[in-house]
Amino acid sequence: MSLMHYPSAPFVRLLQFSSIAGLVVIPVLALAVQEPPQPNDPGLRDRDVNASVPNISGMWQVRGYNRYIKPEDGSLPPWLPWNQQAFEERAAAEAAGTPLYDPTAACFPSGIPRIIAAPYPVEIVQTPDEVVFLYETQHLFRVVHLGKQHPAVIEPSSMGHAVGHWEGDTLVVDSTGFVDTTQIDEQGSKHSAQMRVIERIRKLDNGSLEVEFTIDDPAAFSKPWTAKRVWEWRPDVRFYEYVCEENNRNAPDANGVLRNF
Amino acid sequence: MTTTRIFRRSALAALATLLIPSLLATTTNVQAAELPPDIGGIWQLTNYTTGVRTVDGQLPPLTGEGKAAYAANLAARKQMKPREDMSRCVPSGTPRAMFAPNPLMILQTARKITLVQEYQHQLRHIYMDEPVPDPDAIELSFTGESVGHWEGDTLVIDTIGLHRDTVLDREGMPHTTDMSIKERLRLIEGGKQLEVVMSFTDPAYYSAPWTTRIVFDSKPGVELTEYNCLGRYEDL
Repeated sequence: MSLMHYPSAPFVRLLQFSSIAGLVVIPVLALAVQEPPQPNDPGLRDRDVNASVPNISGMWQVRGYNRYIKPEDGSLPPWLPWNQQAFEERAAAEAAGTPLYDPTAACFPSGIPRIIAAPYPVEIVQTPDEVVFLYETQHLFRVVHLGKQHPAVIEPSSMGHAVGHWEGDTLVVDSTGFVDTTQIDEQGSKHSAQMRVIERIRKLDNGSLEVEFTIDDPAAFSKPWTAKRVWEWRPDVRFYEYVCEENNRNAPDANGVLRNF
Repeated sequence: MTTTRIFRRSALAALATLLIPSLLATTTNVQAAELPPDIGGIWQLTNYTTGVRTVDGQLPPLTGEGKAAYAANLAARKQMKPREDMSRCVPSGTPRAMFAPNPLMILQTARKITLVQEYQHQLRHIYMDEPVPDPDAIELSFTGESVGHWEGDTLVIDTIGLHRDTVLDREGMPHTTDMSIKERLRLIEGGKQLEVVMSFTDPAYYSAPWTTRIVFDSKPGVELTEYNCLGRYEDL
């Protein structure tokens, strides 16, 4: 993985996915004084949320890290020809050591769905009227408005406009109103401003949250397709400050060379 | 939060008035009486200013060193060459983000209160009922390290650990990395407004601790939008 544009907090996060994670990360986390919360802790969400609403509030982080978002069945994304061509050009440029522009390298927001697969913590806070996602990545946030409709006119954004409702134990989130300048994933699939993303989020057990998301974008893909990530319960994790604009680099090695992953 | 939240508040208050005499002995009511006020929701600053002043409207009590730092920031601003950090979209940080005119969403839980600023999508994580961390054990940041606790109807937030590159306001009121901030937040005007009284302690730059006060209006129904500082460069 080449992640040179990520600042130092991400450097630490990536170590969490490596074998030496425990050695490096745990001393920093010793800041935590409270007993770590347990799943379903009512103290993690607004007290006015009805007790019957599934409790998904708390800190989560993607299990494993795969920068390539693909259909669940392992097939390739059903790109339209222009999108496939762009994707292949991008892969070739990276293989040649001359990677193409990635908007997050210029500190633009990752956007949906890319941030679902990002290897950084996400905190969910439920209120009676919203489910709010707080991301360590670029200190972004996203508000899912429960029981609301999208407005007739939406100012396009990277994270889109999100409305949601509960279907039993599953939170269904419908997002639209996107700019066309973000990528589907770090690998580089593109999308259009017509994109709509439907997420189905549910607890597999108290330790994990499944986020299944369907990408519907007739101007970029030949058919809707569905991918999935699993987020793990991480009561041991607290946010670091992630400031992309500070232009931090991954720590150089003993020879002064920036590290690649 | 929004309209339903306000309705819920007033309905609860009305219900409480009717039922309290008969429910005083019940556990539920005892718990309800102990709950802190609900400051969750959307708020927006009423008294936006580019230059922070004390509660008496005075310039903060700058020391000689503080005056020099302030004068340098003011001069840079006049020459249209503000400090680099004030123009390249790094977070405005604490407390400057609190002085932004954009809406602010407060997420209130028992363990943590999060201030979600539309302005530069800044997040402040306030961990409840924890001691102020050891200044030597934390990394300096734009947002600082904040802990909070309730004193009656008032949320008290202590913040330390502020990065050298932030300033208090748009004009460049300076601070050192030793500054500590104590904020006292409480509902006023029957919950329609939120008052934030902030006290700053920073002996190198200020000869005495000083205090300012800002007030937010409740803005039920307002949705935060995506603030894109970088995108503005395309307009230049």
